[in-house]
Amino acid sequence: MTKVRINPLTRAHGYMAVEVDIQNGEVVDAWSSGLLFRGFEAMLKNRSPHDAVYLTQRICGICSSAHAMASSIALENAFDISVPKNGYILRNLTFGADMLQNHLRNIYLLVIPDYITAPGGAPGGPPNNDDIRLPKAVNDRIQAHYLEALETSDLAHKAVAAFGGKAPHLQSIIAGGVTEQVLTDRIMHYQSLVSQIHSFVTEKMIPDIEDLSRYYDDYFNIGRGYGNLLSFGMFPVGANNEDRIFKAGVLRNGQDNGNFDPDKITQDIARAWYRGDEGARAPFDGESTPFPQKADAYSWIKAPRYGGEPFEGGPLARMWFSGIYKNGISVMDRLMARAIETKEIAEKVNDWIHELVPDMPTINWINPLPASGEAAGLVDSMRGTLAHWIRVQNHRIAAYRIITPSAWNLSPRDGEGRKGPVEEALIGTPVANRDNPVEVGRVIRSFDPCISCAVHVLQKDGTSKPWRQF
Amino acid sequence: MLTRRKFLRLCLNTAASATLAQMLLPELAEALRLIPGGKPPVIWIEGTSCTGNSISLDNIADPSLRTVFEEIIDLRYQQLTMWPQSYQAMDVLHETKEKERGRYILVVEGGIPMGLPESVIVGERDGIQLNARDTIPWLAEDAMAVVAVGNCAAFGGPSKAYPNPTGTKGVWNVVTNTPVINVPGCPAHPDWMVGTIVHIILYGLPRVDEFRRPTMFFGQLVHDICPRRFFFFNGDFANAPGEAGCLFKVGCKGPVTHADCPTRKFNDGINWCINANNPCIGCATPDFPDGGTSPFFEHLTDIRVLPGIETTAVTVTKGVGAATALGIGAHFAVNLAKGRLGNNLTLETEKEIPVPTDNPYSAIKDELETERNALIKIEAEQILMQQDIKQIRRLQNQGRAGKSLLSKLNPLRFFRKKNKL
Ligand code: SF4
Ligand code: SF4
Repeated sequence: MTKVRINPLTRAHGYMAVEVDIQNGEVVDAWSSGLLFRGFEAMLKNRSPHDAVYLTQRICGICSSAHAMASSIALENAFDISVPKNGYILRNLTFGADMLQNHLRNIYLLVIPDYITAPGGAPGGPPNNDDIRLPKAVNDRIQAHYLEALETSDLAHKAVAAFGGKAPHLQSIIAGGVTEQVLTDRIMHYQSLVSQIHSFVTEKMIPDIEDLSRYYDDYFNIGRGYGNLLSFGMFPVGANNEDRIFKAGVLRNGQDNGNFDPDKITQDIARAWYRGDEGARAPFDGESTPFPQKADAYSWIKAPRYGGEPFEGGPLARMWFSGIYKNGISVMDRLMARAIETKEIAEKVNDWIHELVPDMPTINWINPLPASGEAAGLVDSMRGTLAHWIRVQNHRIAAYRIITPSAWNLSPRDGEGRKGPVEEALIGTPVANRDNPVEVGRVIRSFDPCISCAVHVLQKDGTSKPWRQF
Repeated sequence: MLTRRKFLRLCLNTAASATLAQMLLPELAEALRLIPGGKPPVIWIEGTSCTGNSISLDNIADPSLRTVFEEIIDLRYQQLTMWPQSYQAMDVLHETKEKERGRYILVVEGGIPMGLPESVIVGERDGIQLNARDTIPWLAEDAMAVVAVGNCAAFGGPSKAYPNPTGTKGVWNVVTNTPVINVPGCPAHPDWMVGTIVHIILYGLPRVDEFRRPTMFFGQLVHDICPRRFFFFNGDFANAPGEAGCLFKVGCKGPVTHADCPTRKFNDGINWCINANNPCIGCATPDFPDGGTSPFFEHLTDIRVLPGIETTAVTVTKGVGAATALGIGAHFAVNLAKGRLGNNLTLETEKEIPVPTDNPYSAIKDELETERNALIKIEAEQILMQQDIKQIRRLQNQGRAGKSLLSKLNPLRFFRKKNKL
């Protein structure tokens, strides 16, 4: 037996497992499985189009604002709703604060425990980790910052709620803009929260990640994967969301690969627990139903592909296409890019605030919406590219499709046998102790995995038949 | 010593600007030290969930999450934050169940996928996959109590939204041998979660309503404590989300939703749904997001104000008298309890919630009213005073306030109390 399974892979959102084939101390093959399925696409069918913005947020508790954005943009595109300037700025401020929240929590709560010793009271107790390399002083400093980050990250969610109503699961971003007004006291509150976060990021988080990269510099050569990066662009601006502050882009095997073209997106159920239309399918093409007995399948996540190929998304892709960080593609580069993006956002939001105009509208509310329409809402979120597609007929949602960032990153093999980005990135990872492969966890967590998003099914199958006992 | 009375009072007294936890912590830490065996172990397990309640717990402001971990609970297992992984994590789970039998609290986030058990795999042991459907009741067996956090765990929530692709049920529909306390909300407020857990640790199970929700947090309708209630009385309705005014006509489900959001607010008190000019979508109701809570921006249907008089929200405009408005609120409460609310979209949604035969709310509300009166009215001044004293002591301990402050405060409060000011 050369295969090792890690199940559950903790410190990820939702349940996932990974199986790696280790030979001569190196990973030679890998299979990543999403182990959570809820079926949101089926739930959305026949509902009022406006409800999608709130219901799709329930897909994910850590990136709810991203789903609110994608869903609102899809509706705005489908029905030509223009968003007032205050509306899209407040949206970006809220979404930006949620990005800060996510990145702080990913780095400190989920990633850093792989590199330092556990403080007292750490959930689950101290793990077995034979590869702690930091000198005691550095280790203790980062450990103190872990505890501090527990307190700082909730400030970011407070900033989200300032204009988002509450967080997680916001009650303010909807199709047409934002229901909260431009309130001066709230703006001041927001600014002070973000400035506290900014000092934490510049004084603590970035030096901490730099220290990790110094003592674990071999991780600049681990976890490259395909070298395929994809971004839809982040922080939409303009009445029709036409422009993006962080630009879209496509990088194929380390080379620029022209402009992003949404029509090249397909997905494939070959190795996922569904039955239905096989082959690479455009979002609205093909139906599938859950089928956990499927031989050869190993994940609830389908395989999204761009131009037929697997792509990874996330802070590294965005920083790359914005020209801010282009050092390379690896575990450490992903962490560096995430830390740098956190700092960039904490600085950029301050410029956006000055563009707000008090007493001007924040929303262009249209209800009822026209009877039919169809469009996509594509936007980059915390972990990469997020796409919603909506088709409305007769004032009801006729079909809804979602491809989440983690579906891209954690995708299983497709019909052509191509591995998903995480699977490919694991190849070549050295593993010192096969009974305790901490290295594998580090590679996967650099992608900030989130399984809560494995959501795909159109129709409910006859679920009354007895299911195989797992 | 923190008595149950005092604790309840703290939970109910949300009018104070401080968070529940802020008021609670100093006494709590002391009370916990007296518990034999130390901090109680907590296992946090997920079913069909979005992990939003784990994140919401992380948002607890004061005490910070750090203090919760360090001083209040011994969090043994939580997928999101725990340090060990793989079989090491599974070992922790099994060990806690065995060694802490009858002593640990099981927190469940997410519903139980009864129809499609393979949809949630929590881990594996000896090559056998453990699904949530079997694991959650198995863990509940030996738990002191089960706390179902978030609407999915409590009632199925968004995970059982029609057509319920995974056949999800609320935990209390499945777990029968251990008491289950429901802490709904999408996601649940961190105060609701920590407040309930602390109540169980210190005093046992809290008082609950027919839906097993602690009355200290879910005893009132959003509508009854909503700051926009006067707009409602005056018929001053918003015509679109984003406008000031009562949001009833644009879909507010506050009149059928039991939760203390208006006074507690979210994210350290900075904002909440209606304050952001956005209708309450009823995220703490047993039927959310079906059973009349959706479409979210359509007003509640089928209002029979008083026997013989029918109206709809469209006709509820300026000029509706206060009595009628009151009648609407009361009507909704009764209808909610009887499970009669409109199924305007999701007719086929399975009815999972046992429907009580008579109106449970009147009894509970009466009781709660009495309790509130007793606790808040009589002792409100004392609470405020104690808080201030505590706050000053804390500042003094940190060297941030002089001794004289305390002496200044006392006579003033007593004077005000004596003179009923
Ligand atoms: S209908 Fe909603 S907004 Fe209006 S008073 Fe009631 S709870 Fe408040
Ligand atoms: S006000 Fe309504 S929608 Fe908002 S959190 Fe409370 S129950 Fe949920």
